Amino acid sequence: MSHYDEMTCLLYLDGQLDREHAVELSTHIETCGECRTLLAALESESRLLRSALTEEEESVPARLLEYAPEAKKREAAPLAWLATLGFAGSGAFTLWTWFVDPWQQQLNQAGFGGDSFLAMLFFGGVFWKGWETMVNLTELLAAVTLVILAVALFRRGWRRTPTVAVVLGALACLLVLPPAASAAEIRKGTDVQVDKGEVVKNDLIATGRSVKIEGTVEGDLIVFCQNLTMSETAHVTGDVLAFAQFVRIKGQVDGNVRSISNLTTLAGRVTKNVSSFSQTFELDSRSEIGGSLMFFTAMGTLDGRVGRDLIGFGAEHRLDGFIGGSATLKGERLTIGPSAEIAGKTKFTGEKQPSVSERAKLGSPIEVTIVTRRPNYANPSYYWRQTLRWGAAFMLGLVVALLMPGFLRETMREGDSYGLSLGAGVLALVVTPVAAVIACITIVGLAVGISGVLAWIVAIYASQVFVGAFIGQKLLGPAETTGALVGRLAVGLLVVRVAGMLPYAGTLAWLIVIVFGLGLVTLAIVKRSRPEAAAI
Amino acid sequence: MPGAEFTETIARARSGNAEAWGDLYKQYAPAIFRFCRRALPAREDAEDATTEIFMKVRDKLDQYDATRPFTAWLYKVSANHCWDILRRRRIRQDLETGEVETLPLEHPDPGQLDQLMEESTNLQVRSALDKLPARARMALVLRYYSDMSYDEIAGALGVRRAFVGVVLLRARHQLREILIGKKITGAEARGAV
Repeated sequence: MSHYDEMTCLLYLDGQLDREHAVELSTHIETCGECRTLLAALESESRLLRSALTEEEESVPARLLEYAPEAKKREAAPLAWLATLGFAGSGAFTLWTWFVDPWQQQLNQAGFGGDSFLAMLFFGGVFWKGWETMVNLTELLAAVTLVILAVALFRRGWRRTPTVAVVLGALACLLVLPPAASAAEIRKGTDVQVDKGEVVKNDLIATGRSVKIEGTVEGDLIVFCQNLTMSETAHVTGDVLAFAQFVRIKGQVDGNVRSISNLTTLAGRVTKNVSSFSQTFELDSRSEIGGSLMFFTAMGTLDGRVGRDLIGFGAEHRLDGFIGGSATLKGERLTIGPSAEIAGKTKFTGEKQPSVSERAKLGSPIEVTIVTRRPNYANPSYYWRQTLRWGAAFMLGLVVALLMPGFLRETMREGDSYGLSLGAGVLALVVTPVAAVIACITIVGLAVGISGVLAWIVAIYASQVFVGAFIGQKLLGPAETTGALVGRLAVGLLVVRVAGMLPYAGTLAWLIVIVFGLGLVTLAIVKRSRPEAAAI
Repeated sequence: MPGAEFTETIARARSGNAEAWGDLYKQYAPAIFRFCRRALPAREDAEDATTEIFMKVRDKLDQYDATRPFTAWLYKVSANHCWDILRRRRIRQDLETGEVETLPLEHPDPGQLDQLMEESTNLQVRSALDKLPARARMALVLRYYSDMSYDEIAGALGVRRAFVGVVLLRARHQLREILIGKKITGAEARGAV
């Protein structure tokens, strides 16, 4: 007895045989056990294939479930859009001409050279000296970890061109950054000391609980510690860069001094310029600065001599020393004492009328601008400024929405759990700078720490974008196209801006926006770094 | 979705209604993702392909013939897209010539085949499927995941209608070989312990 071949059996099972053949086969299997078994086996193979293929053993990624991709459609740019873009453009321009540019000019006057302040602070000169010495295995590992983290974070978007462009751009920057560097000596320990008479013929990087310099450093001194003391006998021929809780400089510095600290006391001689970010800054009467002085501080007391200009930002300033150039101060209060002498112009912008001693010698009458914290609602220019700021924020939002719409949507989803977002926001607001400082102290993490702080500052500004998008979505419903998303962003930012303009409540509104926005970003990043999928 | 309601959703989606489009997407995205997951080698590819397929679908929604099943059309678009991806990557090197298909297949022992099917699990079948050449895998996915007819499979794979059965049977044979290989190694592994 002949049997049917496997092909025919399969076609029969799949209903592909013509009627005549099908009837023939079904008659045959009534009497043929082997063909019946073959048919049964093929059928169970089909069943197995079907069940293996349709079994939902794997979840569908959450991002796929969330939104439908839009088709590319050409839409005419409506008038409102053009107006919005116009505002955005002028906002960005204004931001630059009103804030960034004058700042740079002021900083240039203060002796920061021709380069921009940021470039100077982060990418230039003293920061990167000793780079080569620091590149050992630990730093390499840290760098590799960072890269892996970044890749993991954006893995899902890896093939998308903007991401690749951004990553490659960042890599290119990294390659360009470290300039030719000279080796530096590194000293670590609880108490680091350069004894009297000792000469370090190199740049010195010192970390520890307390760092005491009594001898000579023929190069730059970079210090991360709790307590930095440079005694009268100390002499640094290069710059001093200090991250410390307390900084006391009594000796001589031939270069510049930059300090970030709780308390900075200067009682020695600095040939070039001084800049300080401190809670309290004191310029002792014995001190002398050859160049300019710039400080950001809550309390600034200046009794010493400053050869050139003075620029100060802070709450309270007391000036009782000599300023060879002009003095520009911003803050709440200013007191100019009897021994004060200012050769150039004196400008003060603050909340209260400064108190100026009659015996103080001022090159020209003090120019005072009194500002009140309360915005001037009657002045049309106030609204114009607000519109421009809204435009600037929208511009940033546009970049975010176009470059990483997926991330923006992810942050918007986080907003539904208000408590969690606010909590994460508070955490990010407080922990990031602390972590960055800790990272800086370990030196290894210097670049990480600085990038962390930069990212933190950017995130604080950008928080309004994420909150704006979230609010816009709540008001107008979910956005499916990027265009709709951008529209919701514009509306949401407007709401944020108006809330921030409210008398008294405005400050609170801004605080909430910052905390909430940081929370959204943090949660979205955390979720991204732990890719999970929603089960359906 | 009941028929009338579904037809209306399609019509609204065609006229550019975002909500209707969203409904369609939500209903079919999981199935299309799973389809892509079976047809393409990596999960990331499947994710991207799903998004791309729906972009195509939205563009081509006008071409859909509403008298025919929507899923069949959707799978056809998906199959074409995945097939294009595989072709672009040149992992279709196998069976392109069709020479292999002309070789005679060994007739299986029905009892042994039945036993093999009894012993194999879904997981084993899936991992064996992953090892199949692209066209064989695609054919099985189109037939047993998407429930496409021989005609539709022929259209999607670009082969003659009469050839579909051969492709499917050949794919089954290759799958069995992988499964048998696994059984042996599995038994060896157990014996070694």
